[in-house]
Amino acid sequence: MANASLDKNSRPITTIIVVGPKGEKTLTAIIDTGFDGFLSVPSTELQEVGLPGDITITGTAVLADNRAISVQLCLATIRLDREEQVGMCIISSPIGDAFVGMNFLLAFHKKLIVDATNGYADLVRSDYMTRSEETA
Amino acid sequence: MSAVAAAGERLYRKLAPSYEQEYGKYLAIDVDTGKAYLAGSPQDALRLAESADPSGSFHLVRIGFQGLYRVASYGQRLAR
Repeated sequence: MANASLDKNSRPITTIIVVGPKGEKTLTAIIDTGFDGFLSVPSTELQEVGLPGDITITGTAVLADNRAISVQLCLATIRLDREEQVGMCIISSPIGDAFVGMNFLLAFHKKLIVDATNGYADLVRSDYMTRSEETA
Repeated sequence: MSAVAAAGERLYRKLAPSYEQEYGKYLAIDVDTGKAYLAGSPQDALRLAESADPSGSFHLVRIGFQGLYRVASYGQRLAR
């Protein structure tokens, strides 16, 4: 079964489960290849599973126009299919979308396939290629 | 910019020359003590920092980069 699809705006999306100290929450996340991080989730969704914890973690995110903004972060455990990975999550404004970035694909060893013409997307296992396979 | 982030950036500007050889790695800076914890991923840097000071406030940076992350498209919403 495909674990990604295209939404009505032809954006690739996937279903993830955020696992926190107070439970789990299933979310639809946009797959954003312009984001080099792991995950960004609205604060309201994180609060439902007891995130963030007590410590304060900040970082800087650079936007497309090169503006640098400070963001709040937390460590988050994410389940995709039956696999779990832990990564840094940007705590975004309460109203907005969840999105996953390139580090998410790297952590879960996935490659994104998008066929906008046929309205199809999928995240499939990505195995390391040898040099000869890359150039074949 | 939050007080923690501002303090973290100030500390990083002082620390940066010592970490020039660690391009692309990550630092978790404890803004209370000024100590920095180096690792190959932000979560590993944070784990090191948190184990030293479980109640600390930390600022994460990627050495040699303008920001921890680049958020090119949907990230505009973070600025709201």
